[in-house]
Amino acid sequence: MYTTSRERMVRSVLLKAEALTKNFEGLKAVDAVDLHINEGEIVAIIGPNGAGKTTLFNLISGMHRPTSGKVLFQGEAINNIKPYQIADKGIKRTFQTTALFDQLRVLDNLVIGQRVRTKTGLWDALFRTKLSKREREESAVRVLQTASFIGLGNQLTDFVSTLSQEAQKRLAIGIALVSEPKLILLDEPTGGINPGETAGLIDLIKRIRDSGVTVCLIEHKMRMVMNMADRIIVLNYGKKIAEGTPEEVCNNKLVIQAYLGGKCIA
Amino acid sequence: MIRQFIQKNWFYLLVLLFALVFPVFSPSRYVFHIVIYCCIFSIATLSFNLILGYTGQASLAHGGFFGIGAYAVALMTLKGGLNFWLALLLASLISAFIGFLIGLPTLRTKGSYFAISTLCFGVIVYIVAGAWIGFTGGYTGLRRIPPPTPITLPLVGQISFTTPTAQYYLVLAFLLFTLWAMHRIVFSLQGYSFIAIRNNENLAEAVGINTFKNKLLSFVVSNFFVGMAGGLYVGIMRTVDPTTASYTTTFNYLIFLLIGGVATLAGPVIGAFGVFALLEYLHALGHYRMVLFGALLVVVIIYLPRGVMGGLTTLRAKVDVYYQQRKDGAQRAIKG
Repeated sequence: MYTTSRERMVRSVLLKAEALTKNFEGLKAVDAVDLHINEGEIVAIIGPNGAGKTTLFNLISGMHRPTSGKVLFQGEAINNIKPYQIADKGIKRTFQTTALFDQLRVLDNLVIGQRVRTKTGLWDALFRTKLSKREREESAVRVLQTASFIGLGNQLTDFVSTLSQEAQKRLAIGIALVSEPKLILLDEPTGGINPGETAGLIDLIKRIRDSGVTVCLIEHKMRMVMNMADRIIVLNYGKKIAEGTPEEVCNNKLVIQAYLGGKCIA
Repeated sequence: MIRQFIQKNWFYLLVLLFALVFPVFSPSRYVFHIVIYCCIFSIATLSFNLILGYTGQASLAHGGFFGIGAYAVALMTLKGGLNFWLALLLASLISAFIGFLIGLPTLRTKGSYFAISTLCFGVIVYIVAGAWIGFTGGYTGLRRIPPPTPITLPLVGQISFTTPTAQYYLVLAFLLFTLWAMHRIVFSLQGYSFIAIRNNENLAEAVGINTFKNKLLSFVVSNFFVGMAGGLYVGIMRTVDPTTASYTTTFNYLIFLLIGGVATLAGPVIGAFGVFALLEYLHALGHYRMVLFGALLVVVIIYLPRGVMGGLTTLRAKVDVYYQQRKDGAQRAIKG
């Protein structure tokens, strides 16, 4: 624990939100939230239903424009650009309800996830230019790497509809991971998965962090968050009510009141 | 490598061979004409397939763009005295450019709203074609449009495109060109972007695909090819009137596409040939054939949601599984 906290000191800030606010017709879904995510850590965002966790993700990934406030990624404001541009800058996300290209195969899903790093356009496609050939090969290599990293190496040509729930969650993470992002936002990566399979996903998330990709995730399963996260941010009614290591958050009175129901589980 | 190619594609090669020697069977002028129109409609349906089938955007202005291509060639060759080939290229580019202008506002809408806004544009084209009498000839249309400018080929000599055989080879060449282009686009990384948008537009945007730009690109390319089909149509038909640009044409292509198979390359060709030929065959029934036709459409949509091509693919997969099982069974029997 000591070493990680010391490491954290020297790590640079990857993403920073300043007084981030989102109003939906009078409802403050996210209310003046300040937060930062350091390079190479796993940050968990927790909070009761309707606390504004997913809205916060939507603000960071550009799906929503903030009412006020700023999001800085590597020092650059990203709150006024489109989701695809944010993905290009190196922030990728998954969705709460597993979003996949569900008519296609595992392979195709990963190729599409990699599209942001390939520049093949119409002319390259029509005339099979050198660029398109090279990108095809590079893309194939990266797709194979990612498939084995997420544990779907043997199911490359399977159609998404034939995959188990857990494999679909892995693939959703794979689609985000394949383009080598700097930050990956996981919206309930283990939602709807049984405890036995959750362990595998936790392992995957840890391996993602160890491979050098910063992870920010929304989670409901407290035990999982306590085991895995380097730092936890707690939201309630759109406001940040606590932040810190799992131990600190666990012993925070406000958090216990708002969320844990009076008792810490860790 | 060549052997592998032949083994894999023998069926398509056979079809191509048949298409190339088709005039040898000296079909009647009537049959020839049907086949020529089927080729043109195949091109239109193939281009429709790019925006509707692969990119998932139901553009209902396709007939309108077919008309734009047709009128553009007619006006440029008839009134401007331009070379047909140049006019055809320009007409395709004009159709693509108008597609670009129309796509800019309409592609910001999604789903049925896009369908409605493009349908409106299709209707506008039809009305303009009928009402702008000084320019388009109104509802009587334009007549005596010159045939395609003769070209001289080595070995073959001069071809004047007035005989059915020459016209047939002309449209066949353009059909093959369209198939080639669509094949290249669809099976490329660019094609993956289109398919991603059809499958899940929000996710496509989230993984870093500029969905608007890609939809616009698909729309423009699609309209380039349908404009070309319209231009060819005029070169063969030699007259044009507003029904060419009418929205009923759009629905014809839609029917060809649905019956042939959405998001397949062979589907549009099968649909255009099959449905158009069937309609001609049942000519004696007059308007009653439409009743039969409606029933056919309902059956196809319920039982073959991905059209004839989808049905064939499913059938083939089942046959493969059946043979595999038999093979496994035989092996088990041998092992005892």
